[in-house]
Amino acid sequence: MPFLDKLLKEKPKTPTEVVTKLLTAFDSLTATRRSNDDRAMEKTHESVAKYLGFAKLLLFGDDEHEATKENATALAFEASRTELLSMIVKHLAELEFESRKDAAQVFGAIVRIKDNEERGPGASYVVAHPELPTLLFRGYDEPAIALNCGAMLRDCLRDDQIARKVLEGPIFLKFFEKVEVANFEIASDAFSTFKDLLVRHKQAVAQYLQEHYQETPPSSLHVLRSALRPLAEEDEQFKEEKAVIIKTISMLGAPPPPAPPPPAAVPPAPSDSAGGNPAS
Amino acid sequence: MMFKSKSSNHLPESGPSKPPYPADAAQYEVLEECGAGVTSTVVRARCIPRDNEVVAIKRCNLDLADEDLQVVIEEVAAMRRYQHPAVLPLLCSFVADSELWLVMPYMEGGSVAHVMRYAHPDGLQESIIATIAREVLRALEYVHKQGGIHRDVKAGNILLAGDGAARLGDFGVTATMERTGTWGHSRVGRRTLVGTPCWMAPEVMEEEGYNDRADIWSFGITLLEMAHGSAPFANYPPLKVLMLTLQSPPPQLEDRIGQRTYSK
Repeated sequence: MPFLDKLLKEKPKTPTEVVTKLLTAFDSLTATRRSNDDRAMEKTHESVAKYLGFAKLLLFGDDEHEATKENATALAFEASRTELLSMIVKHLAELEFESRKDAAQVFGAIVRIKDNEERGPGASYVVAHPELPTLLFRGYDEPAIALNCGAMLRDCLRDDQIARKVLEGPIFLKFFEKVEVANFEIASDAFSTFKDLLVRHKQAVAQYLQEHYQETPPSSLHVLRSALRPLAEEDEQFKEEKAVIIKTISMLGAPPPPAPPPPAAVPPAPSDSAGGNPAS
Repeated sequence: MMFKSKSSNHLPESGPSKPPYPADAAQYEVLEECGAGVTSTVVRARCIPRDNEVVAIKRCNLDLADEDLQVVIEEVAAMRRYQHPAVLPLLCSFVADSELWLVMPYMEGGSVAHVMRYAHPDGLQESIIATIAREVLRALEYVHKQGGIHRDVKAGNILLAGDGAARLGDFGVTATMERTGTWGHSRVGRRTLVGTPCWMAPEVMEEEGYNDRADIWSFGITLLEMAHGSAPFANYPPLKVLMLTLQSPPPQLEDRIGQRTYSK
């Protein structure tokens, strides 16, 4: 959008301004929706798009502007002092198609950014707002925002503490259903989120599986095995966790019937090399 | 200001009146096959719950190695990220038996390559080329802005609607520039060898890393293809094409005596 480019060049915004303006724009989404005024709605969408554009410029830069760590970190701190991340999640479905993608990217960057600490401001915000991963997971039920939500959820799950909370919460078991929904994009996105969750945080997962293996539905074993396949290909570093996970899976029950039609997202298992053959 | 194309009008909208495209093979009545590739076939079908709306369904064999399946998954996700009047959209996707079904709008004009093969073997008129090229460039501009690379731009992948509107389709090999850096602020190019040799940019052939400029090379080759009826080196076997492309200067419009002339 050349019009937007021109605007960006004219008025570079500070991180504080961008966050404030974005919050205002999100707020007026609700207000204009009530008013039923098409023209006002269009203006609000424009304004959301514009300030998401500014946020992306601060975070990612563009052809002419290099993104700086200072700006990006400042934006993340500013966002986490406010309700910006919650607002993005809450209003995602109301946004226009392109704005949804921008919002998801902005959300992801804010959650991932670290300031020489163990946990960045965005991730800390999500830890303090555990409803966010749950809401994002529910987004899988809405095809229009499912993939945006999936990407945002994966960004959240990079953090160890958020991942632990999700493992222990109600979402974990629901993943088994979600990876088998008919819609291929959604099922495969849910599968890659599930895989990320399991593979990224081996210790937490090993511990969780040991404590909760009775609750895992036996019919979901093949899902678990496929998701854990990348573990088999990894180096020796996590041997111990791997052994625990494999052992736990083996306790979950008999292997699934041979060659069921491959579920949407699960690669047809060529062999059992993945989880090691637990039956042996 | 950008001006809006009228070609967006024929887009089948999932408006409130019609139900969404179902993720269930039983809801589609397959009419006939209208194209086939190595691992997929394209059929024309009716979507029963949407008043028998005619759609195209690409049926991909899923008996693939894991890596290939990963590629398919990424492509399908990429197609869902695009919404543009000059880009053929993915309406719905699901697994039926061991096939992945990709539901797309049916483009009754076929591909530009089809049209040339049956009616214009020596190439198209300049004004027609320009009209098609503009739509393709709009599509590429959009895809590139999102960090995507199409990687297989050619007349065979430019599809025509009944009203003549052109759309860039078959994102069978699209890639996304991977984001790296702590919060994904830097981009790295791709290194995989994909595409169709005649349209492939030299840097793609050399596998030294490339970016969205590779699509512009393919676009240039496509312009020559539309002007001449076939791509440069089209009569050579793939390996020879690779060699010729790497060794020769970039191909240009040929002066073929007695044929159409084009402004340069």
